[in-house]
Amino acid sequence: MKHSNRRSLPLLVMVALAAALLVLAVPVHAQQSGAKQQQVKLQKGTWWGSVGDRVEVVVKEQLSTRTLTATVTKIDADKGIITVDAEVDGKKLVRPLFASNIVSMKTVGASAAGAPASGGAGKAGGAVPAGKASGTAGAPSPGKPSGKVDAQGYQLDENGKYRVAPQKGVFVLPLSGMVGKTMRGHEIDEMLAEVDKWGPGQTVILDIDSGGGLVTEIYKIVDAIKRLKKDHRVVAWIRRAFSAAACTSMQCEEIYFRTTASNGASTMIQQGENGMVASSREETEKFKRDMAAVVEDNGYSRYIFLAMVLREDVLTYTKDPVTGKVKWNNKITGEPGEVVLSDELQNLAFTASTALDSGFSKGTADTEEELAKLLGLPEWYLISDCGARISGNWKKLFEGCEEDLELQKGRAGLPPTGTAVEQIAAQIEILQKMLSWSKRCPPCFEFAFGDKDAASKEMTKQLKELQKQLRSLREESAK
Amino acid sequence: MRGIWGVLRGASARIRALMKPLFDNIASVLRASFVVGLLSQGNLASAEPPDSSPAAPPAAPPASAPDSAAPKAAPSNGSSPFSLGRGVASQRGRSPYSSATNLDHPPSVYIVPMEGEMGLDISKEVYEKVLVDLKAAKPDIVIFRMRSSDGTLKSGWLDGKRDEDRKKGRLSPGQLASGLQDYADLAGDLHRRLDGIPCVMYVEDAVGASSMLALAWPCMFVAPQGRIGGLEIMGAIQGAGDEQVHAKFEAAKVSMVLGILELGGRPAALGESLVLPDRKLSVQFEGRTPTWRPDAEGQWIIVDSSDKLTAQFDASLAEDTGLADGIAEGIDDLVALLGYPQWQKVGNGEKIFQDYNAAWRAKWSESMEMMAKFQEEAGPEDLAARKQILEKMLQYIKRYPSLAKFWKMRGLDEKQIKLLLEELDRQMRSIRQERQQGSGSSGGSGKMGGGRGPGAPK
Repeated sequence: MKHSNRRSLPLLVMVALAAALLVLAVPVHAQQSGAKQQQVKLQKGTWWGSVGDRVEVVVKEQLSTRTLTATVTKIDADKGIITVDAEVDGKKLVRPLFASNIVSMKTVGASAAGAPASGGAGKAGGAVPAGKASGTAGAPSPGKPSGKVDAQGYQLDENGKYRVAPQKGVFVLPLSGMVGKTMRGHEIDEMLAEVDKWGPGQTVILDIDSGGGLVTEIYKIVDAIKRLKKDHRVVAWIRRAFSAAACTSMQCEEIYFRTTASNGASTMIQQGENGMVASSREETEKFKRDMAAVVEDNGYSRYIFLAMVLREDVLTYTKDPVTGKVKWNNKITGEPGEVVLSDELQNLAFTASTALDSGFSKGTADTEEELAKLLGLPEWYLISDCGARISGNWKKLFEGCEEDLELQKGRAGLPPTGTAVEQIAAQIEILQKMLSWSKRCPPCFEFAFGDKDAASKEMTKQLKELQKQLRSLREESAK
Repeated sequence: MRGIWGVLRGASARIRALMKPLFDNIASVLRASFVVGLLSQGNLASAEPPDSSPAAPPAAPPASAPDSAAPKAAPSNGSSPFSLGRGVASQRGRSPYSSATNLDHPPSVYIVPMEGEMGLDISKEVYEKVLVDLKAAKPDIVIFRMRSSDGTLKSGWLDGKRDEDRKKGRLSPGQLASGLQDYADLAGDLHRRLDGIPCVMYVEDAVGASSMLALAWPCMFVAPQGRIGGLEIMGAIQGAGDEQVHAKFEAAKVSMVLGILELGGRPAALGESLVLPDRKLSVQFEGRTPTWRPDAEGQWIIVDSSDKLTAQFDASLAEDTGLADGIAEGIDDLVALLGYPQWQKVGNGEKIFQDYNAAWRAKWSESMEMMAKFQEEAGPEDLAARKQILEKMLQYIKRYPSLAKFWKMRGLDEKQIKLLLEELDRQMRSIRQERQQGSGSSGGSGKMGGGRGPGAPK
């Protein structure tokens, strides 16, 4: 309100107007300070804010862009729609804006949330001590928001080093499919690189759904999780974790189960002459030694792991009736209250209830909200969807490659038909497609053909010969 | 053992019928009397108290405590008929009994059919559609109506049934069992999305993989002719002669089955005996609360004392053991047993389910005929028709996930069809070129045209 000495405006009216504005401003402010901060992905970057924020938004409309100053009245982050009250061409209207059309958006004007910054705004999180995050689960990054944003539009702290999350939250990395194919240590390292941008002390959930896979990959995953755990809290949330995936889950000091989840059955097996057979004793013993030590470092009894590997290894536990402390045994002791999880004829696989009762799992959660409670978070808040992107992109690439290579192999096996030129052209096409996958997805190519370099070298040689044959056939027919 | 068990059951049923009025009022006093004639081994003094631990001890070691889910307060049910009590209490969701819902109006009931073959008719795709309608209908109670028998209660039938099913155009129980993770996901998903709405399972029949879903809800009623069992296919491990490999796969599969049953609060002893023939199962009672034992020493009912057969339940055994809340002759009877004198049906669950499955089943019949035709001997003049068959098959399996699943289990998927189409295209192109060149060759013998294709009935 502009104060002026207009003789035509009585002082009483001015005071009344000021009071009215104050009354109007307070609920907005209260709404701002009390309203929930939400994150919305824009065309570039993200915006954090809440209903009631006054924003300056640049929106793309067909071939032109328009700048609006408006008040946010509704945020539908899932659908990517922000509804604003704006004045457009002299008219006041309520306008829904698609986030994908918003070029930039910033909160303007003073608010409890934080300083205006292009592409982002948000309530400052509290400072978080550096280091491992027990007790600081999902705490926002160190430092207060500086008003600066990084290239992706995330707000940075005052040191300009770490991104700032508007509230305590988590990161989720889905780990699904075969260990060594779509479930790898590589994606965990990629996740680490992303999570580190938010500073130490983050909570990372490994959402595991796998029937197992390669033993060699287990060691890579173990190392990757070790690196991730150095500065962050890493939690396993199990849907299904058999064999190699079960070993993976035990690298996390906290394991949570879904109600229908299972975890175990880690016998090393390989293809034999007449079907699957257990790996040799020597290999199995080495695996047991290596992994049992790692598992113990993470706070689990080695007997648990051993009972998952060989059926003759027994696992029982008893609970102290006073303290509830669990004592694991590798033989049936006959003590009162002893629970036998795996006898000498069985291989061990936990269910949600046996895992919970024995203390192997810290809890059972079927929804994100339930898991958030178990993690000690006020609510479920996903700080960034980088995990889903990292995992999803790799899975899509690998599975696409796998499918296409199978198709090309099938095509290569079809009986040759057509003219000589057509037959050679078809073979050339198949080889070219296979070779393109050797560059686009080398791990998948290696899975399909063994030694990647030798296979691609051989294919390249065949390709050149076929191209030479095709050229000479065409020259002959031209004559 | 089965013959002796039949005699014992008959005797115990007559005794229970006579004692029913007395048992209603003085259950704990009569417990000692019922021991006579029903105790097979052991005695009350040596019987271990029910263990509240939900852990799953196997049958062999005598030191193992009998398995029991932690009994929580059963729904107070003054108006319901006599029941031996709930073996396991509702561990999630809400009780559908009138004493718990306290509705001041007749309940609106949404019926969700679960009929046909598991994984094909009973699939996540159809329930996606049903759930949309269900949420819009906002019912007070959901009733799942299970009628699925893709297994058999006999043992040692696997090979014979496989051939028989194949001739009838059905998937064998083994093939259906391979979808175990899908069934776990379906059960978990239904629970999660219907959390907060009281649900009850009504089993008209559940033999085979469907019995897992039947047991995935704590509140369950059975039709008089209803059966629950046939889960041994889930524990059958084929092609694993190595003991370690066998133990590994068995542990994995059994734990997945137990995980589904945990949704219904069913204890591991029950789950294992349903899946593994060498597990035994009996029930002992503390008052009206049954405790499941992984042996044949329960002093009330021995369900399975054989080490060659898996546990099976008919309606009366299910009720007597507390596996089911009761026997209901239809939905009307079931709702009355829940304590509601009246009810109203809401939503279109049955129609949506039937329409969805009728649509893909119609294409299934057509695809079976088409593939049978495809398998016939063909000459060059038939190539175009064969190509048309494959293109139609491709269209259908892209459109109907259940149809795609069926044919994939028969060895025919999208990739296979594309390869067959390519082979046909090449042959047709070759024939055209030869004709253009005026060649006398027919382009091949009578046996041509993209092969016979996998999976069609022989």
